[in-house]
Amino acid sequence: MELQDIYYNKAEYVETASGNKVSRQTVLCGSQNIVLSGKVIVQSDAIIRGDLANVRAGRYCIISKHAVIRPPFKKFSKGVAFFPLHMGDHVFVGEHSVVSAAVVGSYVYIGRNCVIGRRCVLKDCCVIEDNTVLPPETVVPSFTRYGGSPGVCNGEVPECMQELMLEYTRNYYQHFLPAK
Amino acid sequence: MVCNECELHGDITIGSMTVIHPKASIIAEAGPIIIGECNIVEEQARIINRRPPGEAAPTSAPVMMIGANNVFEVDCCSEAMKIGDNNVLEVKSYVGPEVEITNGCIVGAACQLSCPEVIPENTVIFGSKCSRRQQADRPPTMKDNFFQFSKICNRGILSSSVELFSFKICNKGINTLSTEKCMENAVWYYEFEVFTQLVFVVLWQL
Repeated sequence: MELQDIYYNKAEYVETASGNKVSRQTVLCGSQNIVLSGKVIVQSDAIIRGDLANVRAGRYCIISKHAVIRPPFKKFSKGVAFFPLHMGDHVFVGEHSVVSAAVVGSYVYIGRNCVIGRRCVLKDCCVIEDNTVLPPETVVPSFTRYGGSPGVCNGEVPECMQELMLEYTRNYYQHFLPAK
Repeated sequence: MVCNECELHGDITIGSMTVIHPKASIIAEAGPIIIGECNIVEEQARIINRRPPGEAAPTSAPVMMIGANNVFEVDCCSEAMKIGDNNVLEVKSYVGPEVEITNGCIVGAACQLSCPEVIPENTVIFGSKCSRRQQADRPPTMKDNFFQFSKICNRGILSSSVELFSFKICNKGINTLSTEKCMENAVWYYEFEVFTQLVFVVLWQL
């Protein structure tokens, strides 16, 4: 099924040479620590906290409105340390989700209103359903579907998840067009 | 320590060593809000002293009191008039206006509290059904590791206030949207960064 075209206000978005489309309404703190590898869409009012630690997002990542990407921290006996957050390719983060995972693999779908706790590890090709709350330090294996609060595994995803996400994110990028 | 990208309205008193992250909002609509020491208010958190609907002109302004060492995590909403010390309101939690939180409580992620009640000390509220239990020991105070945290945050706050215009996105090469303002800010920022990092290193070694 072909996606509907999504039109955005051309003045609102900045497009870089490598094809990243970033809204001006986002809060990108510490932007020297944020690496967007290309063809990444960051929609309005999203927050990426690069000032706490490095944030790296792979190609064709989509970060929806009001999402918060914030590197996780860990308390030690001697203070607090922040860890870098790595996100693979073809990752979708839904609206109003809060991601403070340590690693997000490739081809991951995170629904709306999710809370990904501190230092979670999301392996490749997994699905987090809408309104899920993953407790800190959860490891989500590949090809599983997590949902609920606290998040539990409630199914598997088909083996073609990689192709599905590839197509979905590519389509999304191609149909995310400036308004004429 | 308050970031300039947050929304503050009305009569607000904030104690020392409190960190307010960008995009947090503290709205004192009905009366003043008093926030104690060493609190952390994260992104999109909302602390609202709201007038109850249907009440036209309140005779006295209700005061919202928040104690010390509380953490308001991302996207939580607090309308509670009285909050004690050492509490944690986790991500996307909601506390209604007629709830009173004592000390050492944790309101779990996405939990909603709206009935009028007083939450006893060291209560933990968790899960989708908002189950409750008593915590055996008091949560550790934030004070010990606070300095570290605030130092890291301080860097961020400096950066976010400076970086409003210097919109820099790293690509495979370096790809800067260079306007004059951006360059100016970038230089400014660089100096700040070097300085804060020096301070950071020195303090770390201490």
